[in-house]
Amino acid sequence: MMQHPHTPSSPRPPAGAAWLGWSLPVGFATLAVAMFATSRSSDIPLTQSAKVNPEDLVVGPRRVAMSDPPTILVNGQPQTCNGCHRIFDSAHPSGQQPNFHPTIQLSHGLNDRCVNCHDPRDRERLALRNGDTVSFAQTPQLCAQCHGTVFRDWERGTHGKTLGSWMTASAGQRRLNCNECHDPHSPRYEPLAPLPAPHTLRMGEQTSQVHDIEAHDISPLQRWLHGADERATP
Amino acid sequence: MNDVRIFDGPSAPRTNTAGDPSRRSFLRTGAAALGGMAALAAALSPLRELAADDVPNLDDFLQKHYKEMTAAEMEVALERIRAKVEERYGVRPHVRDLKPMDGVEFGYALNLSRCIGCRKCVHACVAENNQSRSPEIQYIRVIEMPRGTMDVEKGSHHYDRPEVPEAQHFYMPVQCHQCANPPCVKVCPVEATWQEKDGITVIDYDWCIGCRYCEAACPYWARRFNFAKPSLPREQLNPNMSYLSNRPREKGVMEKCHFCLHRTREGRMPACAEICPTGARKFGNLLDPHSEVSEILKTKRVFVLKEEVGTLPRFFYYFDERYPNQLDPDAVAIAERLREEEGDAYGALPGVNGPSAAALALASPQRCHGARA
Repeated sequence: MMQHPHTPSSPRPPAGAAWLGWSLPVGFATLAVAMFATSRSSDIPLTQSAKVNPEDLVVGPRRVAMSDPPTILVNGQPQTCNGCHRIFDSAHPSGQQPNFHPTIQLSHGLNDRCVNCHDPRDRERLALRNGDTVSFAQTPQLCAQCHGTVFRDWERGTHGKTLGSWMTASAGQRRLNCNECHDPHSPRYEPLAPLPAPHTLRMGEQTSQVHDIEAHDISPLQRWLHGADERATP
Repeated sequence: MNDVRIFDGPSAPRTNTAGDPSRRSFLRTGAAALGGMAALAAALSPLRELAADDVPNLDDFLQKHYKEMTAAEMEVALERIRAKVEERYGVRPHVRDLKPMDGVEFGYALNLSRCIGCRKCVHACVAENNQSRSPEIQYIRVIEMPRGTMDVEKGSHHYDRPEVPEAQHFYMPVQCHQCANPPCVKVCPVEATWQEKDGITVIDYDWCIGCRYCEAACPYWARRFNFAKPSLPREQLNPNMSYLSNRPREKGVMEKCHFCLHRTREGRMPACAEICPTGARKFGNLLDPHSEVSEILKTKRVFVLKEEVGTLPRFFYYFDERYPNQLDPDAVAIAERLREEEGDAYGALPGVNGPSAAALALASPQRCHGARA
């Protein structure tokens, strides 16, 4: 039998050292269990993707401007203006709702007479205040008579919309005319329904429904912890 | 045999030394080592979830920084991106590395008088730039601000209304301002983000370590972090990509607005500017005196957000000279309320009761000269 040398001079371990010595492996083991239990789930809340209608993201003019020469659909067939107006002289002096144009809602402030803009002699032309006429493609010249500062900005490119290219004088650049955004009869810009609000991380209120989406991906321990959170909140 | 004890009482003399372990110390050390190894294994266990295409191969690992790659090395990297996108999304993308154009410095101007807060720019940007749909990553944040203040803390970007604009608010979209003095670039510890010649601050997504210093440094809340693996439906992938802009990102990297450089460096408009239904967004070359942004800087009342932090943004906000529409009772009421609250600083409404005598006296040339003399 081997004799262990007795060394009375060796220091005695401090009280509680045995407990400390065992707490390390126990702590590691607990950590391991906790990590395994929670490793499959993510704390990152996932959100439902925003539902955006692709039609809302089509690039182009806001509205279809009247063609030049102007046409109107009569019984589904395109007709020229003068086709009717050479027969009917229908410039109503009071500016009341015209019988043959039910879709036109005139809401242009003080400018409430058809013949302020339309040439009474040739309905396919527009009348300027000095007696000249311009074609429907030259609408900005007509608008410029009253909206001078906006016209000046539009010419510079500081008002209005440009499509295609940012390069000045590029062939691909197209600056929209007044009537491709504004309805000349009712030029106020109509309100729009906004597209969905953000749910981005750090931006949205991350509610509990977020966890429901991922319910299958949450470990039992996490689910219990989450449940405890909910129990704690009154 | 009477030296062998089943149980060492606290009063028992120590019989082991370092060179001669007892069963008890062996068990204790062994258990600690076992527990430690289990904890290590547990800590590594998220690796089990890695899909095959998440694990970088040796070529990914050895890929150089964007600025150090030769043309041939870039082509290899681009081919790797193409293969990965094709594997994940089933689409062969058009990926290339677009360089800045000569004589071009991009600038952006946004008309606060015209923006109606419809958020089309936000979602056009997401569609163009292959951002993650869940969790959502968006580069543009449209803030709805109460009229009469410029304090963004009073604004909200969660507004949800049947229709916009709402009369008591104005709308201020915020995105990357492409600063000439960018704090985000200064703080990057690995030079994964830098400013290009045309003024666009870009990120090499393969070089970013995800420390998020840049996110903290940006005063405009413009940088976004991929906390989770980005998810993007296959059918919504935009296959028109470039290395520094909208190629798919990985979990753990930063991203941000890059003025759609895969479009703008080819002469096209950024997606947000082109979709804007009111023409409030203007984009162009600051070095071209006839570009729309140059004209705005020359002729409009322009300001930059948080001018005092010295970032020198290339993103400008401006207003139209526009008195409140006299036909719009809401606008007139707001203007009158502001005039009551702030006195004549806001100015009088022409046509309502004309400028006040005090405002006229303040603005009169005699007074200016008198004060100077």
